Amino acid sequence: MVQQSSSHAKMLCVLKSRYTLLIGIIALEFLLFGFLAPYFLTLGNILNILRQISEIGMISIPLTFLLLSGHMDLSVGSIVGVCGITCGMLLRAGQPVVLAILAGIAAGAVVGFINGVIVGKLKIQAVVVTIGTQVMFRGLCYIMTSGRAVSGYPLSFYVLGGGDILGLPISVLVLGLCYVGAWFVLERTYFGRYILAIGNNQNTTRYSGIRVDRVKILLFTFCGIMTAVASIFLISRLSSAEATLGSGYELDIITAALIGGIDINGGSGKLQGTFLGILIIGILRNGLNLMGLSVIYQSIILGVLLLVAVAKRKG
Amino acid sequence: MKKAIAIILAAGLMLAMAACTGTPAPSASTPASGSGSAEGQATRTYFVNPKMVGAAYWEAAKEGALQAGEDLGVEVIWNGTSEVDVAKQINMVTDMITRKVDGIAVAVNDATSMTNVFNQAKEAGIPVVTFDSDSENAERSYCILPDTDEAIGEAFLSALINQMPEPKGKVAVMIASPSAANIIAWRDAALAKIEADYPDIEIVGVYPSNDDQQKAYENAKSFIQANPDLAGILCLAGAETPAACKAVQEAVEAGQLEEGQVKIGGMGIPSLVREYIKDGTMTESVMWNPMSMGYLSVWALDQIAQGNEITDGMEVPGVGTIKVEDDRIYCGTFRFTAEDVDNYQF
Repeated sequence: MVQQSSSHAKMLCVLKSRYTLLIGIIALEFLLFGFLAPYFLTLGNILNILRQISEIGMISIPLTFLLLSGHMDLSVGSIVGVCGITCGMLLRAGQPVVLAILAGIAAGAVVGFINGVIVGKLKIQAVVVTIGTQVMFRGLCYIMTSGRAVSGYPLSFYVLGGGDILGLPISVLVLGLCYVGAWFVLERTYFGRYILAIGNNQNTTRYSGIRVDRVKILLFTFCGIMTAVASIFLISRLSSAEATLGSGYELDIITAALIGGIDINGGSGKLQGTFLGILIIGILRNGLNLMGLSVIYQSIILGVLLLVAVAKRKG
Repeated sequence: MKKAIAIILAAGLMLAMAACTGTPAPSASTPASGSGSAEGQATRTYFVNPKMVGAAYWEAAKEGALQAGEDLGVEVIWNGTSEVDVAKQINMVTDMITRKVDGIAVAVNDATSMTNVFNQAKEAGIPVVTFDSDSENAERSYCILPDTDEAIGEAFLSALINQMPEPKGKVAVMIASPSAANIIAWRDAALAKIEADYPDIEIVGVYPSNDDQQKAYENAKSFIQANPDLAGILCLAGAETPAACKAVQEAVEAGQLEEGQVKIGGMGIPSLVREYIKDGTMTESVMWNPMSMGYLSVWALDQIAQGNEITDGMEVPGVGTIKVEDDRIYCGTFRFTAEDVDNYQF
């Protein structure tokens, strides 16, 4: 018992040091870019960064939940496409904005539910399932758009992606609220504990009477819904939805989560780690863009960051 | 342990950045670092944003843009996404508006998406031109194109028709990004021309690859499989032609097609089709010089910044005589065969 609690304390210590490291990286980024990149340290640019990470940030929440439970959703990029295009097509057809948004979210719930049922009930590995659905949903995007960008939305719709409240972009406010809510669920509710329990040991969790398959279905459906919300902000910001909308998002988000200290095998990690990871990537991209540095180098730097983050875990 | 890792990380980041700023490639004439803090507006800085970086076509455009920077004594920042990605392209342009560059040239991936960003640029007083692919309803001063979309679409089609023994039979059409305005316009022009002048040609389908050469190759393989009596392939983007040539060659070797049965015509990037045009898989192809477009983008931005007027028939050093119609600047197309393909280095 004594040993257990001391190992617990040690783990807490490791977690703490990781966040110090993450915040240190952010500080380093600010220092470097503040010095090297013109206009990096302006209010406009900081808001710019926040707006740019807001959509990915929204999807990172359910994806962190899934990673913590030992699962993964590689289809989120394609779900962004399906939901954004659904919403966009209804808007273009002149349907009310609220209806189009709800339909987009419903589409997200449905495709997320499909992922969840296949993983939860058919007991196939999430990585395999979502590679399949990634390709499938992307194909659906091409069919829905017939390869053409969907655009021409009512003006009121652009408020979501471009509007401000008290100087803060709406998407950033929504992101903040989502993070606070998600943190509460993860840290203060039974459901949050179920997620971690499943990630630690699925069988034990099942034997202790938790309907593991239901939790999985719920997590994947939640992932679909949050991804849909993000896609709606995205198409509002881009003012169009095309078949490739959101492709590659899954990698950005998983990279952020891993940098943030989420264990890819599930069971350990904190939501705030993911958030810091998202910030690190967002700031890095923006700063390097401002410096005019080629994206090819950007991806190399991101790769180094990720490897260092994983090495840290082993150490 | 913790410290060691932090140090390694910091060193890694620094090294990576030092390595990057050390290479002359990403930014031309003057190094990007340091110049930002100096308030003196000694050189003008222009941001040129291709649809993506890495492909031979865009590398040639980059060469042109950097050459213009050198000739005009201005700084050119060339940067784009590593794959076609509208959201990241917009982020990149927004970041450069924040940096208050003196002008922005964009090869637009999605015409509508750029409207808001170009408005922001206008509010910030930054002139914008588009090149290669336009966003005509957005706030941009000029668009630099090879030629009118109609002329290009018909020129591509004529490269195919010239090779066919007679204009009839099944033809497949291959395109890259189906949301790029220029490709859509060429497709429409080519299809309209076929409908009007070549009633015996039957279109079996239009196949988009999203600028992915592997996808283009797979597309070609599958429509060849489905149409053993195919007569021609019309390729309306740079990566499509070599993919089509490869698929046709393989199908001939496998005995699925007869040699010379399928003609391939359309846009040919010389470096990508060189082997196929030399071994006779196709005999002619049409292209424009992306270097000229890269060059003209920077040149036009610099003319605007200096308040000079751009008029039809102007002589641009290194590019030649330009054609100007309203707010469009054309650099022209050319046709090449096995004899002169080696003259083009992109």
